[in-house]
Amino acid sequence: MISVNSISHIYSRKPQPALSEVSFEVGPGSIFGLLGPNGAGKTTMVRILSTLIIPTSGKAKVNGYDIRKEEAKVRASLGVVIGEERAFYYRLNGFQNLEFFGGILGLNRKDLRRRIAEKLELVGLEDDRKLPFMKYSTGMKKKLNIARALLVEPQVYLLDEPNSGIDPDSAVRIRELILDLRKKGKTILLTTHNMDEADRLSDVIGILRQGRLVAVDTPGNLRKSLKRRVLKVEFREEDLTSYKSKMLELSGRLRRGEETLDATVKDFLLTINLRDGSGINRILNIISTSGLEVTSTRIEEASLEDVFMETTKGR
Amino acid sequence: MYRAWLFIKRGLINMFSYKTALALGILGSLVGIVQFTFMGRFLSEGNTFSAIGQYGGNIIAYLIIGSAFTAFLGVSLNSFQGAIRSEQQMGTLEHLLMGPTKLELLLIYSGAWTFLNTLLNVSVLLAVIVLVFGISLEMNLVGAIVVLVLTVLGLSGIGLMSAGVIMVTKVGDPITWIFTTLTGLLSGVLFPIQYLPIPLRAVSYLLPTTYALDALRMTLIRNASLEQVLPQLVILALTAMITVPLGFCVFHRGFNKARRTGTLAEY
Repeated sequence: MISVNSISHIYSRKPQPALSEVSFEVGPGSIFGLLGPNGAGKTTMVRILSTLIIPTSGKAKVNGYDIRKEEAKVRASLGVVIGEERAFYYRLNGFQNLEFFGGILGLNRKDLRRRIAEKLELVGLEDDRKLPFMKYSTGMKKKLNIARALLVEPQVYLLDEPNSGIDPDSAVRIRELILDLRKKGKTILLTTHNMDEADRLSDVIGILRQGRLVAVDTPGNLRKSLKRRVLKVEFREEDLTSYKSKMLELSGRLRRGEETLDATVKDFLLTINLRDGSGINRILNIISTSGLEVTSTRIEEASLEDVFMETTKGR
Repeated sequence: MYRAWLFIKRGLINMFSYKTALALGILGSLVGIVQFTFMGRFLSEGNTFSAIGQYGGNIIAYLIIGSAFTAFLGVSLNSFQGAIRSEQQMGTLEHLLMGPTKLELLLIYSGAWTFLNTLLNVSVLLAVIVLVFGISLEMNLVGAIVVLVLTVLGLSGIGLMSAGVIMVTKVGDPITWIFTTLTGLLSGVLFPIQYLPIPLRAVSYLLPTTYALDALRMTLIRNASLEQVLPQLVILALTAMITVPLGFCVFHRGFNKARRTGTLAEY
């Protein structure tokens, strides 16, 4: 498991702390999605947990080992994907690169060959194993990075944007792979900019803003916490002049008595942000008597993206 | 014209952003001038070269061994920081560190290849001396290897210090620069130290490389036994005993400082 306790980090040339009093826990068999805008401190956190950066203050344990006192044991427990395209030897092919890093990571020669073949197949690079790394596409480089993290079959995975730059098909494959690791009881810290991915994969999500963890909860609870629902009403397409005049009148009636109503119209779709106290019945009644023919009505909950935007607002 | 200026401006910004390297580069050129002045004095003696009589008096053998020694000096001083720089540029440094092997050991493994490569080149050089120039070398190969191993060991300690410094400064490491420059100028690489003014000659006696070069020439050209070069070997062994632990200590400090500042992968 991963346990982070009041970790702070200040880079020498930046006045603003990269991380400030961040605490969270990730248990075995679960995925913690760490979200945040660029520069919020996600990669710094991954590097601290990988023992590549010594934090300014605070404590953290990976797989029960202290990141300051038991560095070697921490590293032996980890599979890390750091969000860079490079990180391999250009003139070695995919297989040779994994062979080199597997050896450095402490795997014995006999076991290594079997594992390399297995992991290359897992990420879909088995046919490209003899291709020099310099000929790899961005997505292939990322996949090789993931294959390397899987090589030692560790207990804890730190995945820094594992799916960035990967085509949709491969991204699905990588997501399945991550879920499979969770099934096997592995502890996973995942950073991503893809809200949909974070929503689908994470058991718990933490949102970083300017180095502070401003929200930690399950994706469902985070969405609920925003207390925002959106009413979407679609109208049948009709003569534009008549539609516009009816819509203008409808807007006026909706705003009467509720001047702050947040509504937008795009083509034949009316979107209303519902707040506490927004009377849906009143709105629907007004719409039903507007003379516009409604083809569909639905209420949508706030998305994780809405939560992210709201939480990181004014960064 | 404007585009050409943009390239010049880019070069200037880049050059001035590495201030230590810039200063050391200018100083290096000045030292080079001094070095060639002394070498000129030595060569102006003509064919007699009495100052290298103790090494058999052959100028080609004298210079080629000096040059081969410089290659080993370069390997010992630069291979560690070179390996770090190369891994940083490839983006592989952080991934190498994810294993159970300590970075110091990884650097030594990496240096082993550079050392072997240099050994091969130097062997070719010596073969050229013998086969092409027909110069007969009375070699004590075992003695030469002992001298070389002790030299590389002692200088590697300085190389480790330099790698520790480069972890923090990123470029323009003054330790290697000072040591390489002093060795090139004052250790008898291209001309005997007798050609140096007395104050500079005093400095040359403080450099372990002066003794290393002397012992290497004695074993490779004059078939000197280990007993004959014992004083030089003692100095080299003492150097290694001081520089190697100090090198590990400085390297470790530099490495941890880079980890605290989060600049491990930067170059």
